[in-house]
Amino acid sequence: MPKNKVTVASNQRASRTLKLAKKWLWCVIILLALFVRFWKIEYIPYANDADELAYIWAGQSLTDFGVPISWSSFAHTTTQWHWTEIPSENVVDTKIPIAKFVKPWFDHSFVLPLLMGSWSQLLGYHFPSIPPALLYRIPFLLIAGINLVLIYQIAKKTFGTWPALFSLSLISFSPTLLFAQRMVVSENLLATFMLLAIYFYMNEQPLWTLILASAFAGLVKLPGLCIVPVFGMAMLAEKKYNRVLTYGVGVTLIILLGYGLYGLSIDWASFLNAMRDQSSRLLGWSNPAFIFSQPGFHTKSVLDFSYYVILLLGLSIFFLPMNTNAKILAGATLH
Amino acid sequence: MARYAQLTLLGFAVLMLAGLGHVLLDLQGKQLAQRNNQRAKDVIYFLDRLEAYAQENNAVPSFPSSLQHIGSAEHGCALSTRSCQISNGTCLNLNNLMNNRDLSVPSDLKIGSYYKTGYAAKIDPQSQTITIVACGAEQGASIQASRGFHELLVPRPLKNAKK
Repeated sequence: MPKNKVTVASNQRASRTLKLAKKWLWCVIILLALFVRFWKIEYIPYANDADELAYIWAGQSLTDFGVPISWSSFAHTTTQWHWTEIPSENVVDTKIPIAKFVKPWFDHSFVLPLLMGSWSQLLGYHFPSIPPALLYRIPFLLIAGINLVLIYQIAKKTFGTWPALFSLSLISFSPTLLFAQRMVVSENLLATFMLLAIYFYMNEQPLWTLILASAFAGLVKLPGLCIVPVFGMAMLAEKKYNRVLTYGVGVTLIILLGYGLYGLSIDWASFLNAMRDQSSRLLGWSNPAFIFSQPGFHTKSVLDFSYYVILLLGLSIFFLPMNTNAKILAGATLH
Repeated sequence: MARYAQLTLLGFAVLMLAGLGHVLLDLQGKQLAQRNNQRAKDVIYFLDRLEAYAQENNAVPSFPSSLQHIGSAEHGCALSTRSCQISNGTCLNLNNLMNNRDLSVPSDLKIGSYYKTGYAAKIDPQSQTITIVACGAEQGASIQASRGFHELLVPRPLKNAKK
């Protein structure tokens, strides 16, 4: 065979491989990421984290009895309910854990408790019990999968396929995120709706999708509403005033209706008290230095390192040339 | 991809609304029944703790002959529900039954708190029978339990005592 024909054939093969990699590599990375997230999911990070249990107990009591009851880190002087031992075959310790429950528990929204309560019921665990971490963390594998797909799609839309594959790999195997995405905390679900909202905006999907995704971000955890001004400003910049108005009113209505109905049906006075008490909840975020000095899982230097890599690469977006999509991502990063 | 994203969002919305409606409306009355079941368990738990306390100390805390609200509050304990009419403004603190300052006696799921549990107690001085009532019982249920402590409180000879 002539030499130039061999070169053309091998070039074609390489190009086909590259195309195939471009098309399917992200799926392979996500599958690997999910596998890594599943590996020792019940041990790392430690099972029965207090924050996880707060959501699990609130969910179990909500679905079992119609009243959210859980532990709280706040000094609830009026809503102390019952200080009790938690029987569990999953806690290998000489001391039976004791929980000081508050009722009604309004420290966080109802969305994650609803999810965890239903999941607990399906598994056959009732208030107050501790299901095995291997089981209670499973829904968060699914949520991690959805988040990774969305991260890839958004990055691809903004920067192209190869940078998207790079960011997906980084997020997939960053130890900090690997830990965090396994945990039963509302930030994981909050990220899903924020990412969905960004995805819908970038792909010019109907306005109702943006309204619903943004409102759900706020329903999962109130800081999720930080995404609303990002889109609001972008629409204002495009002089789409009617759209801004519809968006703002739509999100506000869903938020008020969601929280209002929940508070009303449980205990309106306690709900208002909780909202008032927690309106000044800053937990260190009042000081920007907090973000740099206290990485999540601040226990091992490798975890700190992976946190700083993601943080600094995320902030580097401000040094890139800005198109509309990059501006949206920059706004979301700031918030 | 956009269609799947929309479907994910809609699926979540439907599931969340259905879940919220199911939990908050309790159309089948399942939660109400479970709350009453819990109350029935709690009144028995009170009596079990009292029995354990009596066996250990050969005495029970002093109880009034008319219903008194159980709790740690020192005032505001009067209560009027379908199951309980309590005019005594002081609560009866039974947390010492738990032998651990980090534990408390049970509280009612709807009307109870650490300070005013929503449970009440009284003693029949003649028969030394203690009754615990769930004041927050719902849907017309009467949830209470009594146990005689006469046997436990009678002085007994010491085991292995030399004759």
